[in-house]
Amino acid sequence: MDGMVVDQEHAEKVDILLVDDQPEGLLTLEAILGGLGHNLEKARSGREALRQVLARDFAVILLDVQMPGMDGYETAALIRERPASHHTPLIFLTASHTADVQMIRGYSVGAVDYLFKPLDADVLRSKVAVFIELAKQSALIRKQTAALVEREAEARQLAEARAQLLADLEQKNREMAAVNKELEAFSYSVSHDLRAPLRSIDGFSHALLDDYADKLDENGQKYLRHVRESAQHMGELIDGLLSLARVTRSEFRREAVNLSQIASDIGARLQHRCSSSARQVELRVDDGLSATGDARLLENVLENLLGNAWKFTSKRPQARIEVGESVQDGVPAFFVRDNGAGFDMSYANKLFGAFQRLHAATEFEGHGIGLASVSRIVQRHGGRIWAEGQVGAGATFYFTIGEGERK
Amino acid sequence: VRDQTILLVEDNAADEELALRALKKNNIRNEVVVAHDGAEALDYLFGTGAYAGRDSSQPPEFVLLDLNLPKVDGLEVLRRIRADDRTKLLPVVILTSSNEEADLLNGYGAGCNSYVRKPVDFQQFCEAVRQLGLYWLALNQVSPRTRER
Repeated sequence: MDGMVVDQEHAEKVDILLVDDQPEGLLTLEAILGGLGHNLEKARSGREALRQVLARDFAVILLDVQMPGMDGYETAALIRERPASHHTPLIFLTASHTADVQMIRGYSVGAVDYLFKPLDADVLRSKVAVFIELAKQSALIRKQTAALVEREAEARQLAEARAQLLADLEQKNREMAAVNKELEAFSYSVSHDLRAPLRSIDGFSHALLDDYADKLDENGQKYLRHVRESAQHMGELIDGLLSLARVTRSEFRREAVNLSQIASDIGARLQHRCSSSARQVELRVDDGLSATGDARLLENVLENLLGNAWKFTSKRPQARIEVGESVQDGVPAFFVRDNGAGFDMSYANKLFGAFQRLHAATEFEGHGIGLASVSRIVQRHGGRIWAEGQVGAGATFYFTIGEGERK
Repeated sequence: VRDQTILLVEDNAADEELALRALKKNNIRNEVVVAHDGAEALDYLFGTGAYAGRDSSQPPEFVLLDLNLPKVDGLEVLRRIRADDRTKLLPVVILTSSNEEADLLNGYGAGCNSYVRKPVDFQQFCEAVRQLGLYWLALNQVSPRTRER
């Protein structure tokens, strides 16, 4: 307060109540304490003092002991009775009677002091200053306590919100588990029950063709062959659906995956499978292609993309298939490129839907499951898949593996 | 081909007929006993119920076992076969529609010797049966204990 820097906390004004029935007494107090720069309120009687105390909180109350009517002690007792002013510091002003000192000492514990008249200005100022400081610190503590209580309430609310979220999450998990279980039961039923009638349809059509061929004309035999083809096709569709479902719900194991190795192995298998045919396929796999993800699922991706590339280049005398990595829109993406039949970009959005096909079955076989599976797997890896192509000029399939999933 | 019995456990009449047809097509002329549910299969193997009095010390050459069966399911049949001294070394081939991973794991876990998925295409099924017959009836040497008993 006496420095150049005015501390905000210390610069705050507090209220001080001066109680004396004698105007001279009040004047003396005002003269001594005026320099402290605080707000001085005056009361000429105990009753008036009580009114003031009811109206506001005082940092300290200076109380003349000897007053007509309600004296200083009675006034102090009433001030203390009121909870809001129970702890307000009191300074009794008294003539130096021993009896008074005894009385004050025995009066109460807490912030109580006394001064003898005539008043020593320095002593009075320093005592009042002490109580003002005390009042300020109490206020500060009250404020901090309130803040703490508030923070505690906030923390409690946060904890409650978190618990609620967790409960919601658990509920969602339980629902998901139930849905998964249902889906599993459904898949199981499809796998078992839907295929059984197909075996009968195919098997007995075969038996008819085998045992009763002489009783069926060319047309009859052709119809039965169609029945068998359809049954077998449906069997393949069911298998496709099941593998699609499996891709979505299978366990996900995260590990470092060497995509170059996997692509080369798949390429070797494809080469081996058509080693008898006169096909010429040039397959180039870049070195060092790697990602973090589920090895089995990523193998499925490359198997489908390479299988497709192989299939759609079957009519090229010089087929070229390339597996590599390049930056697309600022993001590194793996790609599988071929110089095969390609596709019309205006149908590009249909590429990744289940059972969507852009080529007639007579031209290129397939069920439209492969790319749907690929798309789901890439999604499970937090990545993206898209394709570029042109009819007759080949296709390129790009896919990314989500942020943080790469090497 | 030895003159030994094959136990076919199959509840679906059409599948039963197709299996028998596939065996015949492959000239496997062994006697085939068909059990239509798991309980019947166990009765045959252990000489109980409808098969009371059958000599259970004469096990079949091998068992073709479906998984989805009424009463006692295929896995339970397999577990009881493995738990019994008379049949614990008996070759069991699971022949089923499912290629669900769980079924494969449970099948091998319970001690099946082979797991074959029935294809929709009868010709493929025929080929599977041919190979099974060739393997279990001609190629494979069964444990001497199975024969002794």
